[in-house]
Amino acid sequence: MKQDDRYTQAVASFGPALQRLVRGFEADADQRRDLLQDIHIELWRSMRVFEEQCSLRTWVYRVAHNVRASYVMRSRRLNFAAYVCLDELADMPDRDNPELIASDQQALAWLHQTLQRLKPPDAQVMGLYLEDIGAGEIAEIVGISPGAVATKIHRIKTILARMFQNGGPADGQA
Amino acid sequence: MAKPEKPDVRVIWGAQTVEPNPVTVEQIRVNANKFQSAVQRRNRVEYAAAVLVVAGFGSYLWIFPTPLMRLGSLLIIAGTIFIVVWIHFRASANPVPSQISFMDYISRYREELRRQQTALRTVWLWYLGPLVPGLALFTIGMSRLLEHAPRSGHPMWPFLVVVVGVFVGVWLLNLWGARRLQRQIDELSSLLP
Repeated sequence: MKQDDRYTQAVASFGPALQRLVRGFEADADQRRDLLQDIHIELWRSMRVFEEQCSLRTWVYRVAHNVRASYVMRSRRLNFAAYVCLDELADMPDRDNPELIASDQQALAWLHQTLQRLKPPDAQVMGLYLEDIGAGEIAEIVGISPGAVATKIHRIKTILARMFQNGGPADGQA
Repeated sequence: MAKPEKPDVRVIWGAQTVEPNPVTVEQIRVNANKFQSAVQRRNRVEYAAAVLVVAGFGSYLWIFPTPLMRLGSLLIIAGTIFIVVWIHFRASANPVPSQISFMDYISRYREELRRQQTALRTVWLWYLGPLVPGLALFTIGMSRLLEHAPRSGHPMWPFLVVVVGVFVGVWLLNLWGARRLQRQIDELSSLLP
């Protein structure tokens, strides 16, 4: 299969997921556009060497996350000390009042903010969990053990349960 | 009345509106080629600068009469060729493949930054050092030539000040670059076990 065909297939299958990923990780609209373009270019380039070494989905997410890391480093916004890990997020008091998360829009806004303040590996696990990807594949994408992914997912579920406990959109408060 | 079951937050996430694919394969190809052309243009400028130096000092082999200046020119040409070869094989950017796992990517990216940092820290060895013998001989030769010229005095010191100033400036700029890379390396290290 030719490079263009592989790329077209990847975008047809995972283009919306890439847009959600970029929207989740970048707050600024201009940077979102630039990052998405960089991801598409690198994805197209990478398809020259794609020989089904892993699933197409794993490949696409790896490229997307790595391009994003490279983008952050090039844009000189590198300051991981300012990010929090899942454990710290779980221990934080609920300044974002769960009662306020009463609509899908508010839920998405909270998810975006949370993804943007988490350290990259934790943010990636959370983003991939939200895309409904299994722990084994997340481990392949991020490059940490499946056990570590399972622990992080457990943390994420706890945090999500706490945040959406009182104000979930389906509680009729939206 | 029983509350309706709350949807998985993943359903909300997946239901976000997305635009149709914002770029076509043709646009991707054009943008990728633009980037590639920019890299090739930068490389061509570097090689063209080296060719100019070689051509300039090559002409001095015939223009200047003293053996010291000729030997100096020859050594500068050799030093320039050495620098070009060194940059090509040892100091050029080595892109990290993007399809590996994130932690592997961070690890290899850090290694690449360390390699570049070493190149910046040792710039005196592979960039400045190879030019010193040739420039020294050329300057001494030029100085002797001017000593014998009528009404010349010793006009070489401004030239020396400029050359030494440029060398020190290049060295300090590279040290500064290496220190900036250290910050990125530390940040990447904080993500790795």
